[in-house]
Amino acid sequence: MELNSPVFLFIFLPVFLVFYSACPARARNVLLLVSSAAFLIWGDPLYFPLIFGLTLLTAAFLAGIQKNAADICKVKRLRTAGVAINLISLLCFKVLAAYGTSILAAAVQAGIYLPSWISVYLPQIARLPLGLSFLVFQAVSLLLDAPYKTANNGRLLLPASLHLLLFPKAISGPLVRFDQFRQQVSEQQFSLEQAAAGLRRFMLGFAKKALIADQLALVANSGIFNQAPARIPAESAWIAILCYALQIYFDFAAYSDMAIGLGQVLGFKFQENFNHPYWSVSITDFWRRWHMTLSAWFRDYVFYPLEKKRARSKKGSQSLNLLIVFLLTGLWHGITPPFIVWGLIQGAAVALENGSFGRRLRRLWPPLQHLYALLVILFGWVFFRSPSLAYAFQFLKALGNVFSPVKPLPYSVFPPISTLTWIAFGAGILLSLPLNKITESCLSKVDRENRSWIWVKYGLALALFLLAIVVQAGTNYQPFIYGEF
Amino acid sequence: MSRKLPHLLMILAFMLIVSLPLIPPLPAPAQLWQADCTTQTGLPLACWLKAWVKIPSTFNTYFSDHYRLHQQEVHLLESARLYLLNEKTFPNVLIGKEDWLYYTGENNIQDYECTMPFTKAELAAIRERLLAWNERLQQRGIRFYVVIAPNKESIYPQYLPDRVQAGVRACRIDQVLAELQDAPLNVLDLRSPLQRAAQTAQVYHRTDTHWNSTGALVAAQTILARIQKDFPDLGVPSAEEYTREIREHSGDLAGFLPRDARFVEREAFLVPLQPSAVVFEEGSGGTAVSSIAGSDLPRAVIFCDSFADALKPYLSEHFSRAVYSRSFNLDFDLIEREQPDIVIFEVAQRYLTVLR
Repeated sequence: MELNSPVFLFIFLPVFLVFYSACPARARNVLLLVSSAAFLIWGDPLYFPLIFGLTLLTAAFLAGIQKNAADICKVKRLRTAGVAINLISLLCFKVLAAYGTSILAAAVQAGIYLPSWISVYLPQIARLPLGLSFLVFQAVSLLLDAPYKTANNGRLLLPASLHLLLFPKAISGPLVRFDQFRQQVSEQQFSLEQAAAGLRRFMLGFAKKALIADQLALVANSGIFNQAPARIPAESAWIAILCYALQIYFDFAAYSDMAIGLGQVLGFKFQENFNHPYWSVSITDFWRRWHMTLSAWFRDYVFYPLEKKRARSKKGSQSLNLLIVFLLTGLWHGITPPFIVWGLIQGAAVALENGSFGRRLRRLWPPLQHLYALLVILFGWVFFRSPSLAYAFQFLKALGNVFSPVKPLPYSVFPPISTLTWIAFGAGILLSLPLNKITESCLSKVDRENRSWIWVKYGLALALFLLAIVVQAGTNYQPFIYGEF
Repeated sequence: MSRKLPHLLMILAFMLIVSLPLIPPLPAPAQLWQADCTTQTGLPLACWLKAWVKIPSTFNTYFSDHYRLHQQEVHLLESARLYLLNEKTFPNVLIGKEDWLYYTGENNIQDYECTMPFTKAELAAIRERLLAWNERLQQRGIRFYVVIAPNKESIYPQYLPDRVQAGVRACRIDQVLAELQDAPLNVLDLRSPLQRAAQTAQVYHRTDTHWNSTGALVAAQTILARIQKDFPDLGVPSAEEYTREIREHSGDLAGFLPRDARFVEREAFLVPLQPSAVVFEEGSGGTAVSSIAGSDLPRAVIFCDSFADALKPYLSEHFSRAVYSRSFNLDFDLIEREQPDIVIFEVAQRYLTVLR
C-alpha cells in the first residue's frame, strides 16, 4: 500500500486515525504494530511472510544478545550473524529482481530443462519485496545499536518490532536510529497541536507528490527513455532529464514529508531526509542534503568503521573508503551496472572534492559552484535512469548534441508538454530553491503564534491537499519511485 | 480552548476530506477473486496463492477508479484543463484543428506515426491465422472476406495537430497488406474509397472514432461490390436510395471530455427513402441477426467490431440472413449452425494487433 494510494488515503488512514485517537495510551503501540502489519500484508501479501520472518529473526537475535550480554564474544557473533542474514536476504532479492528474468531467459535459450512452473511464476516473483531494503537497514541499525546492557532489556521487543515495521516509514524511510526511536516509543504523546502540524506536513507532502512529481512523471515516463538515444533531439533530452531530476526529488521528498508528518501525528519525531539538495555547491554538499538518513547510515555503519580500520592498519586511503561507501550506495539502489556507475560517480566526485580540486572549487564564484554541482548531479541521474550503460553514454551524447539538429520525436513518443506540467516544472524549480530562508526572514516580524497566521497555514495546506486529490484522480496515482529500491 | 480551536478544526477538516469517499452509498463490491483454479492442472496450490495475493492489487485498482466523488473530481480537473488551461491532450482524446477529436487510446497515434510496427514473426502469425481460417471456410464452401476499417487519422489527417505526423516507415496496415499480397485471400482496404468520398462529403464523425452513415454507406458499397464478383445476384446500395436528415450528434470521443457545445456536431444522417423489409432481432450469445422473409439472397456471418454498427443497415438489405458477432475470433460453432455462404471478418485498423 502506498501512502498516496486512494485505499490508504480514504480507507486505511481515516479508520486508523479514529481507532488510534480512541485507543487508550497504553495500547497505542500494540495498535500501531497491528496496523503496520495489516498495512504491509495488504501492500505485499506474497512477501509479507518474509518481512515478518526477518522481523522475528532480528528480534530473536536481539533477545539472544540481551541474554548473553555478559559474553561479549557471543554478543559479537550474534550481531554478525543477524546482520549477515539480513544483508544476505537483501542481496538475494536484489539479484533476483535485477537478473531473475534474464537468467531464466538464458537458461531457456541454452536448452536447460526447467519445470514449467518456474517459467510461469519466476517472472512474477522476481522483484524486491515491499519495504525489504529499508527493513534490512533498520535491522542492521537495530542489531548494532541495541543497548544490551541496560536495565529494561526485556522491553525491547515491541519497540524493535515497531522500529522495523512502523507503517509510515516501513516502505521508504526515513531511516531512524534505534536508540532515538526507542526513547520516543516510550515517551510518545498525542497532542492536538502536534497532530495538526503532522497532518499539515502530510498534506503538503501529498500535494508535492500529486501536483509536482506525478505531473513531471508524465514527461519522464512518457516513453522517451525507451527510445534509441540517437533519435532524441538535444532539447527533448534536456527536458526529459530535468523533469526526471525534479520528479525523483519531489517524489521522494514528498514521501519523506508524508512519513515525517504521520510520525508526528503518532508522537514520533523522525529525522529530516532532504534539505534543498539541488541548491548544493558540491557533491559532498549534495549528500548532506539528499536522502540524509541514508547518507548518515552509510557514514555511521560503513565509512566510520572503514576509517577506523584505516587508522589502525595505516593502509588504504580515505578516497578509497569514499569510493567503497558510494559503490555500496549504488548497489543498494540496484545491482546493475548503471547504478554501480552512478555510485562511483558520486564517490569519485566526493573524493576529488576532498582534495585540492575541492579547495579550488570552494574559491569559485558561488553560482559556478552551484552549476558544477547541478551538472554532476544531472550527469549521475542519466546513469540512474538509464536501462544500461550503453544507453546512458548515448543519452549523454544526445544531451551534448545541441548544435546538430535531430528530427523531433514523434508525438506518440514525446507528446507536447501540457500547461499543467509546465506549471509543475516551474513550481518544482522554485521549490528546489531554499525559499524558506527568504520567507522566514520576510515573516520574521509576523507573530508565529498569531491566530490568523495559523489559519492561513492550515487553510493553504487544506486547499493544496484538496487540489492534489482532484489532480491525482484525473491523472491516476503513480507509485513512489523509492518503493522500488 | 480557543488556542486549540484552529488545530482541532484543521484535524476535523482533514478527517472530513479523507472520509468523504466512504460516505454511503459505497461503490458496488469489486470482483476480487479472479482465477479459476479448479480446472488448473500442474500446481493448483500456486494458482490459489497467486489468486489470493492478487486480491489487494485488484481491490486497489478498482477502488482507485470507483471511490465516491472520483468521477466528479476527474470531471473537475478536465473542465479546468479544457476551459482554464485550454489544453488539447486528454486521456484517450486529442483535440485537433477545428475541434476534430482523435482517439489516443490503444496506441492509435503510435499506429498512425508508425512507431510500433509489427515484427516479422507477428506478420507471419497474422498471415498464418487468416490463411488457416480461409482454408477451413473453403472446405465448407464458404467465401471469406477480410475488411479493414480505417482509423480516423487515415482519412482525416489534416485536422491533426501539426506535431502529429504520419509515419515514414511501414505502418501496421501497410505491413499486413504487403504480407498478404500474394496470399489467396480477399482483403479489402477501405482507405482509398473513403479518402475519395471524404473530398465531397464528411465520412467520419468529428467527435467520434467511427465513420458516419455516409462513410458506412461507402464502406458497404465497396464491400458488397467486391462480394458481387463472387455472387452476381447481390445488389450494391446507391446513395440515391437515401435521403439526408440533419441531426445533432456527440460521439464517443466527446464522452471523454467535459460536456461542451463545441463537441456537439450537426451532421447529415442517411435515411432510406423506402421502408425496409429487414427484420432485426437479438440472436444467441450476444449476436445480432437480420433477416428478410422469403429472400433467396446469400446468408452471411459477420465477425466485427463497433465499426459494423453503422454498416448493419446497409449490409443487411443484401443478405437473406446476416448474423453479426462482436468477436475477433471466428466462432466455427456459430458458422456450423448458420451454414452461411459468406463470412466477413471486419476489423478496425487499430485492432489488427489482435490477429498477431
